Amino acid sequence: MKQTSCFIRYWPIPLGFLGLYLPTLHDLATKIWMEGERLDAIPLLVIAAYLLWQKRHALPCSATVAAPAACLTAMVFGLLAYVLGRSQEILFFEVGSSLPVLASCILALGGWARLRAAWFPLLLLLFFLPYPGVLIDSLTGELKQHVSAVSESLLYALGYPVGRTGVVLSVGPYQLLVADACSGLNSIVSLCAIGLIYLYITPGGRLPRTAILVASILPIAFAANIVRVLTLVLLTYHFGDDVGQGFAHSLTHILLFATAVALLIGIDRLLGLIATGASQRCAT
Amino acid sequence: MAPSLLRTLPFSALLCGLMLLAALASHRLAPHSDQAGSTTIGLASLAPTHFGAWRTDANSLSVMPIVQENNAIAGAYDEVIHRTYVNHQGTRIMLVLAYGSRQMGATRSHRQELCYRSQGASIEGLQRGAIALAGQHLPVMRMHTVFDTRSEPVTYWFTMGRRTAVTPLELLIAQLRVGLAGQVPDGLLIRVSSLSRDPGKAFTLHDAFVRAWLAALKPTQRWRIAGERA
Repeated sequence: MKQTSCFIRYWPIPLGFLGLYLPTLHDLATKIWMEGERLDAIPLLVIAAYLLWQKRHALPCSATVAAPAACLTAMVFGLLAYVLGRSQEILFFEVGSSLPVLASCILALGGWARLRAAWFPLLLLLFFLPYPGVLIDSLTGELKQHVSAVSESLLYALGYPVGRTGVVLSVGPYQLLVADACSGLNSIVSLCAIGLIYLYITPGGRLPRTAILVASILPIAFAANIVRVLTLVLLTYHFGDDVGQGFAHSLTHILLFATAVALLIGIDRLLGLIATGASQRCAT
Repeated sequence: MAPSLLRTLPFSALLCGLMLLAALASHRLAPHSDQAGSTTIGLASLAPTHFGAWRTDANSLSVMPIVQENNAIAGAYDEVIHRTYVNHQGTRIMLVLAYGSRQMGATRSHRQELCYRSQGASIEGLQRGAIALAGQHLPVMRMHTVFDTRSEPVTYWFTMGRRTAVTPLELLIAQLRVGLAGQVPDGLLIRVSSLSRDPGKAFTLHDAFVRAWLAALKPTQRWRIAGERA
């Protein structure tokens, strides 16, 4: 009964929101995801949507509009970004506008308290945004060089006939390019988001644990990328180009995320062991 | 329930109206192509087979690709030509022109340092420069690319609509100027390079080449390469 009346009082808001972003979602699906790009962002959107939906009963929706000024300000700002982004095909503006627009809608529905309750799904959306290639490249360009360099030294230490020019690894008769699409460096943003989701769903957060885990997210993403490149090189070297570039190539993408999650859980367990060890010492 | 409805529904309706208005406005503001279906501009006529001391050479050099490998968004250009020119001293220059009729979204021009880097080349001394023309400074990007034993200094720039642009931000601004005026922004990538171990000397050569080239073009063609305004 309560939910029904809430819906009756606020039904135009979800209607407007869907009117804005269903076309955007359609474009994302047909122009980006169908091309096989940024597929790793889809789970982020699903998780953010699920968490938002889960939070809907957390607080009663307000009987009056709680913060109309802030609500309208965020809405106008978001809509300007939307109009510029959608009409001129600047995807970052178009998708990015959903953050202020969504915040404005949540403010209208339940004021600041409800917006605070929804902080985590909104933060996840920040990781979902299609950032301009320029930004990603300038952030990960160096990283790519290091991934190739570390992979090369590891393979060399293992006795493989390996050489490197820039970001091209050659092993035996094969040459592998540690390209953007190949090394999964575009997925670094998603890897960071996965780290945050892990922290969010595993409570028990004392500050040192949270701090250490947050600080380890980037090194983990780096390590997971190296594991992936090594796997690709070894697959190519032992089973040929067809295997290394074919089906196994997609599989190693899943490996990338699996490695990252495993490392994160490993570090968390280790921290747990150290913590219990320390508290036992204190007790005795 | 009625009083609470009166308090919230008008505001909800206002937000909804604003959102739907924005959806409509973005549809209205989207640029529409007026030259129906024409996606080429005849690049061959923009690169004459001989001008000044330069003529095209049948023994063309191998040219680095203009887009990143493995890139699903490689469809940025509708028309591309590669030419190798040689002068009396036997010095060779590579010219690449790439035209895109729709420089928006995923189909925007590519920064050439990324294309070289994605081929495995290392980039040194990437910086902004300018070519002094009569009454105009043409802004360009300079870089020294090294791939294995191949040392290739590169000068490149873009024209978007009738403006020149070098950095991604300038490209974005140029795109918006054309796009918000209701026209589909089209653009051209111009890349001049040579094989040399002395970038300074190579860039001087590139400048001389560009000046001779622009001098040979008709005024109606010149803006395609050098723009009308920066």
